[in-house]
Amino acid sequence: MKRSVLSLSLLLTGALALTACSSNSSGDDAEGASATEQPTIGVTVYGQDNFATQGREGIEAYAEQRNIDLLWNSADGDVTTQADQIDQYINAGVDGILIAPVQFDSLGPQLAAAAAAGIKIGFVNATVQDDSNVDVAVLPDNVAAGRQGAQMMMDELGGKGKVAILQCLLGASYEIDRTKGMEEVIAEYPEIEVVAKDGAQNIAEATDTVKNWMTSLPELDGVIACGDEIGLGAYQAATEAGREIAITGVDGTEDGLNAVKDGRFIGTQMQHARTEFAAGLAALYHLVQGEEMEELYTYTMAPVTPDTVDEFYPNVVSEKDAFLARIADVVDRNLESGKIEDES
Amino acid sequence: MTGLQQNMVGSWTRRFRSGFKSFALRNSMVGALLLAAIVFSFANPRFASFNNLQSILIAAAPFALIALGQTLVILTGGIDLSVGSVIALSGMVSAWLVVNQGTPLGLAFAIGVLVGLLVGLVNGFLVAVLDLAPFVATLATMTAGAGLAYAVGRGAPIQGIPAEFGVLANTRWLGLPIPVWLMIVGVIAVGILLQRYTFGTKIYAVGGNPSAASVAGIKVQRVRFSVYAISGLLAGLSGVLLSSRVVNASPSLGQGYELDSIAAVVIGGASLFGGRGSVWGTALGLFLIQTLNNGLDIMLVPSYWQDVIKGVLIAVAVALDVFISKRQRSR
Repeated sequence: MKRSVLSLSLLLTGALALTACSSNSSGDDAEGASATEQPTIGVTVYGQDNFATQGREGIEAYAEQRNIDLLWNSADGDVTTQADQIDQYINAGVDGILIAPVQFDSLGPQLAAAAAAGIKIGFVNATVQDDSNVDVAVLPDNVAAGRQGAQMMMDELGGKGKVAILQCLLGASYEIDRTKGMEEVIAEYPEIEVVAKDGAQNIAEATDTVKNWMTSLPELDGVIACGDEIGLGAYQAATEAGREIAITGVDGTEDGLNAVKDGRFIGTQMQHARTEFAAGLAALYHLVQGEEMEELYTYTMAPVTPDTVDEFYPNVVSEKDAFLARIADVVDRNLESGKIEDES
Repeated sequence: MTGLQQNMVGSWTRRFRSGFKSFALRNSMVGALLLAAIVFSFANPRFASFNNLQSILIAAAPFALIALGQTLVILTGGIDLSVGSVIALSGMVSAWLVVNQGTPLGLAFAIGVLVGLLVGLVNGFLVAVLDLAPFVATLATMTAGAGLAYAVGRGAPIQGIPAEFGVLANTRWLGLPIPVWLMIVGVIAVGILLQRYTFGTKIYAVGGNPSAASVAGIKVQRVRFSVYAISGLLAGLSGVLLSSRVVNASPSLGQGYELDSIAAVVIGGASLFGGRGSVWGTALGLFLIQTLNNGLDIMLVPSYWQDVIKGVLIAVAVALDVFISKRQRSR
């Protein structure tokens, strides 16, 4: 209902927009958006966690700086809701649809319908099984993130010891990829033994699970966690049990970066949702504008260690508004260079 | 007149008989708990250590508080689906106050607990005053509460919570963390409330037969209102403690806990139709679940199999309950 009101008001203000657009547009975006027509892009993301919220900030900042008419919806973790939202965007006649999918094996019919209607389709953060109708995608390399986390742990332990793998929500595609990367690296170290492996959905669950591992495993040198939040749960469990273990996370959330700063983590992998999601929107936007784009851009997570954490902290935490203010230029440059994660 | 009195007498004897029934059930639960403990001890000698008992107690505490409230609500024939959302909401509010408003810790925790009470009062109003079905009323507050929890953090967990936030739940007194003490005090207090005070008697009466209770001069509305308020208050406390323990406030914290608390009450032998059940039963049901969580983790059983085992347990517990009730009726 909100959307029909939106499109109605769009229609009504159409005439106004014609004049407003041409007078408002700064020199920067005049080249992209043709003065008469502002592209409309509908976004549907899987849910509203910390990561998606940061992603939204990046997307909104980019849309504002490039004068894109943005429609936003969250699927709240439900495949059907996401399918409905895509149908609504098709009916609203948007120029492009950007999707951060709820589930890997979903959305086939909706994407076909959107493609048939001539709508460009972009994916960000994750893709779907049937990607024949996907025009452009910006995806993180989760296998590499898992590898990097495990490698940090191997280096910390000198390639010898007992570790546990703390997985994210079991069965999620990013969990599967990260776990795969971790296990690939661990397999190269015969003197490393994986003594426990299970999933936890949030910090409270992670704390209880690792706490119980502490009881059954008198020797546990490290926990390789699939995410920062559950990694912090492992830290809490170790503290309660009065033990010291090495912990790595993934994502580079504010809490995760702080944990690297003060030594609770030996490291994490930087996945800055603002940059990644803005790049997703940017790639789709350029495609809608008729530019040639690659089909796939890979966001490579940078390893964050106590030595490098200060490079990432400002853009994520202390100076994020300044970063958002220049995000469109950063992201557009990155699409050209192919280094999507570059925030310099 | 005499008919009414007989009705009343009937409800009292029913209560006594239900005492018997829950006694039988309680013993079967004690048996199950002992069996689980013995199996786990053999599987891993570390299970039977004081440290591990502490792990179980700490993990149980936030569940215990909501299960206590849930017991009272279920005894009146109601149900409180909102407790999981309240956990998220009160934790989020406390953390938000500390991080964004610089509110002193104690005050922020107190406000978090009061938020829980507030939701409980709304539940009480919807159920007792507007006479909505408890399932529907608390489904509404559960949904709205979850939304509010997201709204507090504008869709995201609160980041940058200071380490002092963990003081409340991580401080030890006589060797045990504060949440464990609150759980112990809570179980004893609610147990005494139900067995020794007229308020407890009224709760059983309202759940057993609301019209008879009303005729007997019990203010049914007031009793109903109170149990939801207490449940909300305890859920608020649980949320603040949970957030403090992990120094984290996330809108997904406490998700699904309402069903766990209902499971504990049901495994503990309470009837979802009201009038039958006890705090001791709930405590045993809760500890059976927590012991399984803990022991299966220690045996490194994957979490999905743990869920299967818990599901079977719930079915067995209720089947046993039905079986015992039928046998007593046919006698």
